[in-house]
Amino acid sequence: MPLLELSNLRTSFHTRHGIVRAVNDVSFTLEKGETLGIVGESGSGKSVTCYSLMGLIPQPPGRIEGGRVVFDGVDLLCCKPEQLRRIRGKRIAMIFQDPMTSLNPYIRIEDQLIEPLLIHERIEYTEAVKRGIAALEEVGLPDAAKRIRSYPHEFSGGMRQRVMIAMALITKPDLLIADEPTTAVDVTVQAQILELIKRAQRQLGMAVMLVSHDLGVVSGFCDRVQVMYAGRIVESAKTDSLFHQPQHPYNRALQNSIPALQPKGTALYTIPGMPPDLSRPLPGCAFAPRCEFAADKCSTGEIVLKEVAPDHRSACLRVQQAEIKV
Amino acid sequence: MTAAPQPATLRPTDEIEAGHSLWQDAWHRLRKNKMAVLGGIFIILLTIASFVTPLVASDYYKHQNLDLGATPPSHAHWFGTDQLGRDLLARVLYGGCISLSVGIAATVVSVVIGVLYGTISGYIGGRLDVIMMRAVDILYSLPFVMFVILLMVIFGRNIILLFMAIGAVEWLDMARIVRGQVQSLKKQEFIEAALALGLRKRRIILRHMIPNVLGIVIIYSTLIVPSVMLLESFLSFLGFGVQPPMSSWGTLINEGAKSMEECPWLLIFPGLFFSASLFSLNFLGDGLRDALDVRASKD
Amino acid sequence: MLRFIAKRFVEAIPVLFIVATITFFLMKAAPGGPFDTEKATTPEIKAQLEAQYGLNKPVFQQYLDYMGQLLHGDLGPSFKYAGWSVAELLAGAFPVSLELGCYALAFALMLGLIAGIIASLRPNSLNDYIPMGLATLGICLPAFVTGPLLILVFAITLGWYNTSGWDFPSDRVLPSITLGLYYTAYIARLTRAGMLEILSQDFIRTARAKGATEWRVVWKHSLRGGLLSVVSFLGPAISGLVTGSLVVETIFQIPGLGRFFVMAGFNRDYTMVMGTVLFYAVLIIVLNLLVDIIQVWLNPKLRFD
Ligand SMILES: Nc1ncnc2c1ncn2[C@@H]1O[C@H](COP(=O)(O)OP(=O)(O)O)[C@@H](O)[C@H]1O
Ligand SMILES: [Mg+2]
Repeated sequence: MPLLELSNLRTSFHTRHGIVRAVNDVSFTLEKGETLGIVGESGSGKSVTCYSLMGLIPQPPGRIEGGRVVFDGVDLLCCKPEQLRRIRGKRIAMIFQDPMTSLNPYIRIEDQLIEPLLIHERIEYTEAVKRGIAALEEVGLPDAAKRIRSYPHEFSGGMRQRVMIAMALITKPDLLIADEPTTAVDVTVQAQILELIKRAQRQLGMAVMLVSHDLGVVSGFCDRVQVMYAGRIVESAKTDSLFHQPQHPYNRALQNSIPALQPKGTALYTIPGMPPDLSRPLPGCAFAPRCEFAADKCSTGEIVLKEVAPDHRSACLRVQQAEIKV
Repeated sequence: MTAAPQPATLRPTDEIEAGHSLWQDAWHRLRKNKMAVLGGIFIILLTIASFVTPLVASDYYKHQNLDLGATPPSHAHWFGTDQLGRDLLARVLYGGCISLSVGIAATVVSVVIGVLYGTISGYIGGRLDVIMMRAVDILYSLPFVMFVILLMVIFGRNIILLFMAIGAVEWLDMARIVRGQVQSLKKQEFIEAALALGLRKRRIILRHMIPNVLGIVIIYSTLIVPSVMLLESFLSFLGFGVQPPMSSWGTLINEGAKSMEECPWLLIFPGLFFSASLFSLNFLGDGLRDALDVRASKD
Repeated sequence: MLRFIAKRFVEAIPVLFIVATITFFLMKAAPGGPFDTEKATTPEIKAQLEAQYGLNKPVFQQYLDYMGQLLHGDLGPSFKYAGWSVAELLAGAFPVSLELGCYALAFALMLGLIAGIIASLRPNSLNDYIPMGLATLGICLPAFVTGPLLILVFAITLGWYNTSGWDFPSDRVLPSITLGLYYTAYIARLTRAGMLEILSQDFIRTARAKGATEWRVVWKHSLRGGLLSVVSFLGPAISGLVTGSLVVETIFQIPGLGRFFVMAGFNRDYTMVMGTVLFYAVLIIVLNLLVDIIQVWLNPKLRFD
């Protein structure tokens, strides 16, 4: 049994400007100890996917329209709130994109850090503080015993993200969801943050879901990668195969637009057109208007994710029918 | 969206660029706000009634009928009559005339003070700004109304003095708002251009700053009117405000409260009118503010 | 922190000085003295009285005398209540006003906070509309309308309370509600807005992700930040309560300082009026300082600036 299984998850936001279908029919599984990457442009629904499975979608305006999220045999979408609460923060932990706003400015680091322990474990306060200090040392915060008494605004962004990681790992979760953990920190700190997550994963044997808009970040880190576009998963494969044998034009275009991967001297590539407006869904493939391979059927056919090569799935109709190679 | 508190500044660029259409947009938004529209209609009707009644029936409100005495509302006198047999509806409308006049006059005084103070503080900036704003903070916390009472006690209960004194109390908010607006305007390019052209500071303040601050001043003035009217009625209620034979809503409520055991209508009708006007003015002011808040139109 | 408090105290001195000076000279500018109204007084007696109170000295000398007395905490004798000093009158009347103010504030905080929090937890539902509709109503109803109306309903019609006085515990109820109603409404609205603001922050999501219960999210993570605006409103609220007490004490005929002040105003009891204004200015400045300290304590970011 996989650790986590999402099937046909659909989440939308009912706003004044219409219904935004942020996540549309997303299914995937995650094994114990596995590392899964999710990439896509911003606005493609990566965060909403994570929040949906954590039960963190603000309702209203958000609404989970359908689907199942089964974690270790428990359906998180329809279990009792109490049951969900016992899992989140204990067995599934999450790191957020912006460390500057994700810590409570009115509460000492100490109390925020050990809060998961106090919530989920029967533990003495002093004992919890000890574990908190140990956790901070683990993430490389110097002088942890003293700095644990600080407030968030006394820390830099990179430091705060370390605190977030320490806080997420303090209960030794089975699954860590890291939603763009490196996007808001300095380039120099990015590698350190990723290294921290990697090390913790080896030590705890936990599964990691790493979300990023940056293919580069994901490529060095994950066993498997899925590409999201306009609320759907459009391609999913082992990291190697995703990079070397792309099976969806969007994946190819994404890779083309990374300057470092291109031979020197070639013109910078950008994907033409704009990301689609999720509140006005068009029939067919959402990428079709921007796709150089698009044919008539792309804007009418039904889009499903299908295996097109061993352990490699794509949502491109033309690839599925072997009409094109991208 | 929900009512998170918003700093009270228009975005000057939008105002300048959008110009005409901004006001049209605002008008559309205002019309959609039912409470604001109802408030506006009520205030307009009340204003007309209050100002026209004394004109057409100039002394009806003081026409006594001692034989009649205090009577409850009836067909002849919709709101009843008071102990001297005066028609309460006429008195309420006349009181409205006084209350609204004092409200508007005192608002003008407070707007003038507030705009000047805020413009100077925001425009000159630096240490002076710090000191001036700290002074506003301190003034906020002083029991100002007691000073007004003091003034009324000492210099007699004179209506001109009354609205001057009230105006001198209610300018603090305006000063803060205008200062914020001027500060953000100062960073605008066209002001910098004027400075570069070597225009004198006074000229810049008069010709460029004040006209651009006008929008927000108008909106906040509509919110000052109810608080000024409140203060006036408060003073009149205590006996320090409008003096007989003139009567504002505050004096009527005071008289009503004294005889409410026998003639509750003398309390209820003036109270109702007064509260309804405060209500309407507040809704109208809030509606105007929301309608003109450029931020709101962006999301 | 100590520096901050010291700074505020230093700031308060010129403010009080200016308040005292302005009040003094306003009094002097007044047409007619305190002994004009008593028709029985002959010119001789009047002169004697004025000499007794030092009113025949040059104005500037009087000013210096008064300021000198103030430095010793002496507010002088009351002109109207022979044999009483202003300080004695204040000491007698203020506790009543203080009690009234405390009840009103406690009532406003309790009801306002609860209503605001409830409304913020389910925005745009009945739990939100009903308390906030009432709050809007409360803000537009001044004390001199609600006071008489409350008397009309609960004292005259229903007979549950006395119409006036300050003798029995039950006499506290209607005045406190009258005085506190506006602040209840205002605090409810501030609380709702502040809580909504905080509840939409990222760190609340973090707290939920940790598995915190809804209770914990509100109590531990939101309240502090959400109530900052309420705390900063306490400063203006206190001076508003002082002002409001003038009306409420008049309506309910409560022997507090507010009523004394109003009467002293009618009677031209110079020293009493001046003493009251000064006393309230000091009180309000001190209470505002207290509010500032609470604010700094609540908001760690301010603690370091
Ligand atoms: N609270 C919300 N209200 C309305 N729309 C939302 C909300 N949160 C997210 N969305 C919409 O959902 C879509 C996906 O957002 P998100 O998952 O955050 O993208 P990303 O892939 O960058 O993480 C976006 O179009 C966004 O506008
Ligand atoms: Mg995101």
